[in-house]
Amino acid sequence: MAENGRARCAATTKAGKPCQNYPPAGQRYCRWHLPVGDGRGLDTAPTIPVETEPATDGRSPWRLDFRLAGRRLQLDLGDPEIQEQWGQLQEELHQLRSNLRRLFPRLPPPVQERLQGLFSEDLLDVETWKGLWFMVDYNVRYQADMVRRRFTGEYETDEWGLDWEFVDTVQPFFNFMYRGFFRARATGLEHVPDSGGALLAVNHSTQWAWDGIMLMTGLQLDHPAQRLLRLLYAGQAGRLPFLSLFLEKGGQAPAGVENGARLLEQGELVGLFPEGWRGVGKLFPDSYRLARFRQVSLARMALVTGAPIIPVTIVNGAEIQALLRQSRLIARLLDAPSLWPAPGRGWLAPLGLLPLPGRWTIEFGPPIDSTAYPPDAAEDPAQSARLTDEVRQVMRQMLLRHRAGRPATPSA
Amino acid sequence: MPARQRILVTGVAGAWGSRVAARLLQDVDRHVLGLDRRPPQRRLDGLDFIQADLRDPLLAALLRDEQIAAVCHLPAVDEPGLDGANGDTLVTGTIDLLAACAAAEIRQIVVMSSSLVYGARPTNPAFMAEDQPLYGAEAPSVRRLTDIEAAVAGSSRRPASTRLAVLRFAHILGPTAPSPLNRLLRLPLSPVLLGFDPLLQVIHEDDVEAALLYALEHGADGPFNIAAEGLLPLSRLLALGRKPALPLFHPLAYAGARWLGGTRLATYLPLDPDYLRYRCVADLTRLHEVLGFEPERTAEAVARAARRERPDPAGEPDPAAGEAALGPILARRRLARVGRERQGQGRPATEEATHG
Repeated sequence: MAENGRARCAATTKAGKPCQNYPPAGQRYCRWHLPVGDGRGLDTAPTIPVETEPATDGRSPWRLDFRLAGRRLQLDLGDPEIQEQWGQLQEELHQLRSNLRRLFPRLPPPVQERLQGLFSEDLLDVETWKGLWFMVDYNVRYQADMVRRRFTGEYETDEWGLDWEFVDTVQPFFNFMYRGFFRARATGLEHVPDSGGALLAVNHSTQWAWDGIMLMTGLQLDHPAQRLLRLLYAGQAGRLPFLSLFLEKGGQAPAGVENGARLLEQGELVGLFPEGWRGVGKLFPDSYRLARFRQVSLARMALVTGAPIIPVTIVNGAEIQALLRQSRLIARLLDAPSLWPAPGRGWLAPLGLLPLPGRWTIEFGPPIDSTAYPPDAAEDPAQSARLTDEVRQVMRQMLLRHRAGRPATPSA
Repeated sequence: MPARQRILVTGVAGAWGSRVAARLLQDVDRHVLGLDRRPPQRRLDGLDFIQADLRDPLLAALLRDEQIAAVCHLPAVDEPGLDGANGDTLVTGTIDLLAACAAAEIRQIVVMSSSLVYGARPTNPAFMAEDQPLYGAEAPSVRRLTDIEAAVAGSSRRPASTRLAVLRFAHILGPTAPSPLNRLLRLPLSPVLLGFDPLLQVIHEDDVEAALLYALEHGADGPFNIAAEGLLPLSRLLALGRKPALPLFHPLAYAGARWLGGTRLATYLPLDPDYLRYRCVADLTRLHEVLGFEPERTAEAVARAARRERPDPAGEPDPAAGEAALGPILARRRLARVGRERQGQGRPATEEATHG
């Protein structure tokens, strides 16, 4: 399925559908499906240890002679001393295993079984250690190679600054935050299309972009097509050091009708927070009340490109960082808007950076069709206001339903 | 025998002027005239040099008399020696040049500008089209260019048959280009801002030359953003070019820029810190669809080439150049001058040929 001449990834996602991502230049597979070692830039292929030759000169058959990571290792397990020690080791291991229950009587049975599995016969098998060494060696060399490539510029970024290696590095942490810390649940994911441009309108409920990050992670983990979400962040956030860097390398784009429309035309999933800054700076008592939608860019982006608008509500994000006051000093120092959530003064202030582990719910509503509006509605302020209002009403309904405790109605 | 096309190149003493003039001179079908207040330092055989000021009121007469078909205006905003007090004369000179071209009904004008005039601001669109308002920057060179662009935009009194092309080039890299980013890369430690890594567009100086010629030959009209394909983060550009970077805390960089000022600024922080902080990327759709010019090298190739290149002096000055060719040129000038005086202008002509 190559629309603009570029071929898509040739793999199949775990949902059984063809993968819609674009592979890097010259590859057949996107970076998710790229087989390890296939064009990833390793300068030497990993060597797999082989050659366990039986000795033919009358000595013991347990002579090992192999290469591992360019080094030669020779072991003669047939040596009577080594055999003796080996036998002792085996016995000790056996003893340990059978007495584990007595050593740790209070452990629950599943943990005991795991522990027993740890001290199994495999520990004495050379193949286990060879395999472990191979894995460690490969990982170390892969990381070293990646660092080396950073210093020589041998990596790729797309025109929005997306750097997949950066995303790979930070994604495991965000995956943990999603699953382990926030225990987030995403419902209505079937409303997000597998391919093509779609605009997600999200309510803002946290500071420091946790809601955006969790939304991105949710789509990566729970949605079968594993699409990367491109959030539109306020351009003013680009004035903060490091934040702008991370946002850009994560593939996010500064807000603006032109940027959003361009991304939608390229077939990307675009996320937008229509409340804007007012959503971010909400003090704690105001959470879950939708601030007035600040600008009309949401409607214009959708009407110009004809993309569907999918309302998304994120709940329980506000309790995680209670914004009680804003810090002007930090704002002045960094020449950037104030974003310092501070639960207290003085020594307690940095605690504001830590989110509390509240449970999250991310709900995707049914898409709102922007093609139902006449084609020149993008220039008509009345029509754009109507569309914006429609989106706002749907999001309010979703929030109210959640607060009332009722589950979301199934899509009609 | 068909008449040779006559092209006037202004700013011929600067790096770009002499380069474009040299390239144009390679074509025998063209007669190249060069105009500047100082003689070019390079040896340019066959160049018809006129030492004059752009603000001279006789410029329109010169253009008409010499039957200039196209004017290529290459203001030397980036060169440290030529700006400063003379910088503002570039702007007034451009205004006067455009007025003279309108009076002489020149068919084609090509002006060289830079995409830095869009300004690097956090709220700019990610890809700026040609109709984007120009915000420019505090740096003097960019400010002058912005003023020149404003002058070009304001010169709407020209006849409808005139084609005025403004070529906004991205950061120009190469062995000899005097652009701010090039000077930054040539410093022993390139200053960057800590915590910022904007995406940059670049173009190789050979492609710039090719683009200027292409615009002259193909009758380009209107503003065009010109850059190589592909975007590079600043860190990647430095890594590919194997240039060491010096991260600066950004308030210090801005304070330092304010404190340095003048030529010291051009030496130590040639590029305005805003361009090291926010992206200033131009949209190339109009270049591909309307002008049809494709730069030869991609951005990555340009960055890699920067690794291997050593800075070249732009050609040795040749004091003994062209004396033999002076005779016929002097004679012609004399004739022209006499002709003008007879027509009653009553002033000695200000142009004199000193270089062949």
